[in-house]
Amino acid sequence: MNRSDMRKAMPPNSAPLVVTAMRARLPMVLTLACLLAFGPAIRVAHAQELVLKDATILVGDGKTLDGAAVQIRGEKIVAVGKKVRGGMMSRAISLKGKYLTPGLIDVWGQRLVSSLPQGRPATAVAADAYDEFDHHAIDNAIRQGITTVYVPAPTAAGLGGIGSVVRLVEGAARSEYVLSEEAAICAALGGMPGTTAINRAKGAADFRKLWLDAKQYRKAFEGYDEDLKEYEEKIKKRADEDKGKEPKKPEEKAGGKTMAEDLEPPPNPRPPGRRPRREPPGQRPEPRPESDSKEKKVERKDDIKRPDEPGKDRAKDALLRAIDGKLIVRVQADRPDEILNAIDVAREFNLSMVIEGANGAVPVARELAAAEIPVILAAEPLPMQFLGGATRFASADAAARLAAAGVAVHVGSGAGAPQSPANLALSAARLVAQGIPEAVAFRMLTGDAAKLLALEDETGRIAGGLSADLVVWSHHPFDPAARVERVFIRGHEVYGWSVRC
Amino acid sequence: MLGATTATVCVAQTPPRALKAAAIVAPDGSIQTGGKLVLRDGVIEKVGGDLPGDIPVDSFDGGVICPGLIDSLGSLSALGSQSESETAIQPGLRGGDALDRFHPHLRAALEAGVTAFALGSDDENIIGGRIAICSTDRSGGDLVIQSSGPMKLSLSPAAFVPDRDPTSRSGAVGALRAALSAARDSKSDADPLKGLVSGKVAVLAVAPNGADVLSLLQLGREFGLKLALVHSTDARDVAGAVGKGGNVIVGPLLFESSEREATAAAVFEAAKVNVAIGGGLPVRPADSLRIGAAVAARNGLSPAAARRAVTIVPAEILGVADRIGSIQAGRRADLVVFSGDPLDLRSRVIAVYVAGRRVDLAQKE
Repeated sequence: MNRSDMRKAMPPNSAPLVVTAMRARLPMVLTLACLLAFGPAIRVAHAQELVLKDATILVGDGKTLDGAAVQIRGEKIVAVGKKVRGGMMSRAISLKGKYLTPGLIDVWGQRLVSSLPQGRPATAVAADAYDEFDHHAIDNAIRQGITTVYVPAPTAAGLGGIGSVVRLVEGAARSEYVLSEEAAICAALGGMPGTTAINRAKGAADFRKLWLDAKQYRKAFEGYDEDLKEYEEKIKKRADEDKGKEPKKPEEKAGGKTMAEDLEPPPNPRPPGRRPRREPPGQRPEPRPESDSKEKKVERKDDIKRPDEPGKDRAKDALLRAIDGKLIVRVQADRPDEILNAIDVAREFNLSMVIEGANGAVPVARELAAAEIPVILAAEPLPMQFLGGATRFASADAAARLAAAGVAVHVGSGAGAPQSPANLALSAARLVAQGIPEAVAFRMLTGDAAKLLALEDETGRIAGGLSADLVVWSHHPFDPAARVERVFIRGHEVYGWSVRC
Repeated sequence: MLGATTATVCVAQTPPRALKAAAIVAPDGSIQTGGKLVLRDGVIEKVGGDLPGDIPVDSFDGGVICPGLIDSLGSLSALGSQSESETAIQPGLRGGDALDRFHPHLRAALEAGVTAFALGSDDENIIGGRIAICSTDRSGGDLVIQSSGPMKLSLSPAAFVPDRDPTSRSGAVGALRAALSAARDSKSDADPLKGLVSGKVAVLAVAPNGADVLSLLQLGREFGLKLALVHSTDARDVAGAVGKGGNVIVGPLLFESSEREATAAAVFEAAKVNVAIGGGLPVRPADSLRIGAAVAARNGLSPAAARRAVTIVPAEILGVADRIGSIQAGRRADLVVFSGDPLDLRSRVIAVYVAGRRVDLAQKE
């Protein structure tokens, strides 16, 4: 047993003692001193440096590396390549004959959360609905090699809540499992199956109105801010004037109220319209001396009225963030006409949009490509049988036809049996038969998926600096014989021969 | 017995052909390299060996020749509802009577490599009549390959409809037992269930629960039934009871199938039960058989068994294995050429042959 094995076997604190025991007395003190000085560093380096080597690596950006290695330290990938070696104290695992890929990303994990009932305020955050203790659901996903999931806050029609991205680490603290608290606004066009054409048209109009209202809301606030500034300037001016001309009654006031009317003190010493919470004490125009207040109140009642603050609306604030390009808008829409309505809204309000479901996207592929709107298809293919409504416009080879038209196609679990994510690797493999190149189909689950969720610097590829979210497969993930053998999330092994659930 | 005398007239007009490909799916489900076939008069004349020089050869580099896929579960092309709602016991029905020969789904299934399917009553009749085995293309003559296949039985909760007998499981099992007893005791051969109790007519029984499986196995022993079961979810619990040599159809399997369903095929295989995987067309996508085979293989079913599960085993369960379901001399030339292993979902369909005639796949609507 060599020294590094011994160190692994013993708790970090005792490392200096072990070494001490093996050294001669004279250099002992020196050694002890060095170790005490560098102890923390040794402890950190000792803690989990891992090298996975000899694997065929699917990087996640379309490239494949044969016989390469990945060096992991703590939660991150440090280096990737054929010449990568670990440090002296790193643990090495040979993956000869195996495939190593990034953890798969499910970009539409609706099964892990339930739908919002219609009519709820659209400010719910999906991360709150996600159950980090749901062992069954998490286990099912991990066994397929999925490590990261976008969970929506879906609705049947109209505006939903805000979707989040989570890591599938069971029972972890929220800060550990939430990767992105606010990833996208969720919406749906078309409503429940069986919705009539008139209701669909109304739904589209209502959807557009939401965004118009959001812009109006902003205008109202901007107007309020201007009015408030004006009001405060006037008050300040008045105060300055009053300081110079006390206790003269100013003549410029319209209406020319007399002191007589002041004899009735207003019930509330505060001027109407003031909301204390809005105004921190420091910004109050001035401390109103009692002697002046009545005069000033009368005058204010007349012509300097404090503007009414518009009510805060968090849903509209979220919409505004989308309009400002800080939040993506995800619209679930199947019929071609609904997709076109969504595209129109995206154009009008300059939204960054993604269409989910998109069963009827093929007839409007050109419009989608021109608007650069990506599409997320459900992994589970549709039945042959005509079911009415959205499936009328579906095609079996939709993915290939959309891709050929220049639309960015993605695949996710989508809606369906709760807590049973669809086998993403197999459904992506199926797309290869339709004509999508294998490397592209694999990217859909890794690098391109991370890009869609704006997480390309965090996960989705095996590259230095990214989170160590990795899966070891017995064969290529699309191979019929493939099995997931190990799964790492942030450098910790969450599934594998040593971590059987 | 073959009942295809009318068919032979048409089939004989198909010119002979040879096929050459990289590999063939053998009757044991394995992939064997070097695929050479001679097709004549609608059947496979020869497998392997030298190809005669006088017939045209279709060459498929890198292709794998597979028997045409067979869907043993589903209701492809059926017109309307396939069960009688007034009475649960309908042994006289014939599934082939519901066939819509012009339904576009037949073509869609054919293009996905499905060359034959079972058509019978769905799960709402306790005894639903005889299942017909049909082709998806008329190159072999009439679409019906076998009009009198197994008798369809069902213990599905869909059969327990209020307002008619039976309304409970015990009522259903009791009704079955009564009907089978009557058939056994009856002297006349006119009783449609007579063939069941003599073992001449096979039984295909839908058993959604493990308990249903055990009830049907019990009835099978009591009456000497030649039994095949449709069951997935409680495989772990009943595989031993079904036992070696038993016949089960699992599925349809989806990408989102639960672990219990997806592992059922492997569990049955381990118990040496013959496993078929049902496609459930058209309620499932056209390639549901391949998806099911892939999902089952991912969950423990051996690859050879997975390939057999959508070809020769459904043929055996449906009683037509002497005609379809495998690449052997004398079998009907129903073949699919894939670009790779049929289990690999990356493979696509390159060519389809029905009764020796190559189908023009390029023809779109």
